[in-house]
Amino acid sequence: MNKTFISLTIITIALTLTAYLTGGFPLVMEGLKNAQGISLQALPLLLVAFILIGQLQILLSIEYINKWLQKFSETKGIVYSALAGGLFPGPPYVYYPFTASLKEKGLPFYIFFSFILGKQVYDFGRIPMEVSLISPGIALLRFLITLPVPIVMGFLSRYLFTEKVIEFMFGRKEA
Amino acid sequence: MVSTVIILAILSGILVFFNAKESKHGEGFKVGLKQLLRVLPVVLIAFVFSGMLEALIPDAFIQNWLSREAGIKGILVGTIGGMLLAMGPYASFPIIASMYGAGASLGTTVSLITGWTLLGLSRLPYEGGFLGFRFTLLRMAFSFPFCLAVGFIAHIIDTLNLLPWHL
Repeated sequence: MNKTFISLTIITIALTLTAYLTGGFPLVMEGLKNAQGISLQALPLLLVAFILIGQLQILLSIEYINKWLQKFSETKGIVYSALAGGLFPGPPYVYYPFTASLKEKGLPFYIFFSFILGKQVYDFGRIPMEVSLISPGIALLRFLITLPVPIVMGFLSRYLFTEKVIEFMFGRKEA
Repeated sequence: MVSTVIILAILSGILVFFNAKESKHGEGFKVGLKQLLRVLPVVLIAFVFSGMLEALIPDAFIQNWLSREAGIKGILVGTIGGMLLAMGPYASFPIIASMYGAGASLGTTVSLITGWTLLGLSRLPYEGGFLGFRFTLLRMAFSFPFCLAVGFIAHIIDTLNLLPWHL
C-alpha cells in the first residue's frame, strides 16, 4: 500500500506540474475541482461500501469456502467454484496461497481454474468499490456482461487444458 | 448516487443482521473501518490524480483512441490500459472513472475494468509466485480474447442504445 501511495503521489505531482506548465494555474484549479467533485460523490459511498466489505469478510470464512469447494464437481463444480471465488475474502496475498493449496489437494484443474477466474471477475467484495468509485450503472453492466466469463472459461479449460498442457504449466501431473 | 448509498446500506444491514446472530457484527465493523483507514490515503491521492488526468487528457486523444468512434481501437486500448493499471481498485477505479468522465466510450471503459480484473499486472507477482509463471502467462493469454469480447459487447450495447438504465 505504501509503494502504491508513494508512486501515485509522485505521478500526481508530475501531472499537477504538467497542468501548471501547459495551462497555468487555471488548469491546475480545474483538475482540483474535478478531484473535489469525484471525492464528494464517492466518499459517502465508500463509507457504506467498507461497512459491507467488513461484514462480508466476517460472514464468509476461508474454511467455509474450502468445505463448499470439496462438495461439487462437473458443471455444478464449475459454477459453484466460480461463485466461491467471487465470495472468497481477502487480497491477492491471501487468496493465491489458498488457491495453491487447492491445487495441492488434488482438486480437478477446471475447478481450480474457475475459482481463480471467479475471484478475478466477480469478487463480490470489490463490487461496492466499483459502484462507489466508478458508477453503479457501469458496474452493473460490467458485471452482467462478464457473468458467464469464468463459467465459459472453466468449461473450455476442461477440453483445452489437457494433461500435457497442465503438466507443462506446473511441471507435473495434476488430478 | 443517494439511491446507491441506500442500496449499499440495506445490503450492509442484512449482513450485519446475519453476523449479529453470532455476535460478530462488531468485528465486521472493525474490519471494515480498519480497511477503510488503510486505503483512504491512496483513495484521496487517486482522486487528485484522476482530476488532473481528466483536465489534462487532450480531447483529440479521447476522440481518436477512447471514444465510441474509436470502436475496436478503443476496446484494444482499454484492455491493454487496464492490464497496465498495476494498482489496487482504490487507485485504479478513480482513474477509470476519470477516463469515462473525459469521454471514453462504454466499450472502452468496460474493457479497462475487465482488462484490469483479468490481466492486471499488479497480481502478476502473487499469481506467478504461488502458481507459477507458465500458468499465469497461459491464463492471461487465454483471458485476453474474453476481455476484447466483453468490451465489444459493451460497445454494441452502447452503439445500438440498448442499455435499459442511465449511466
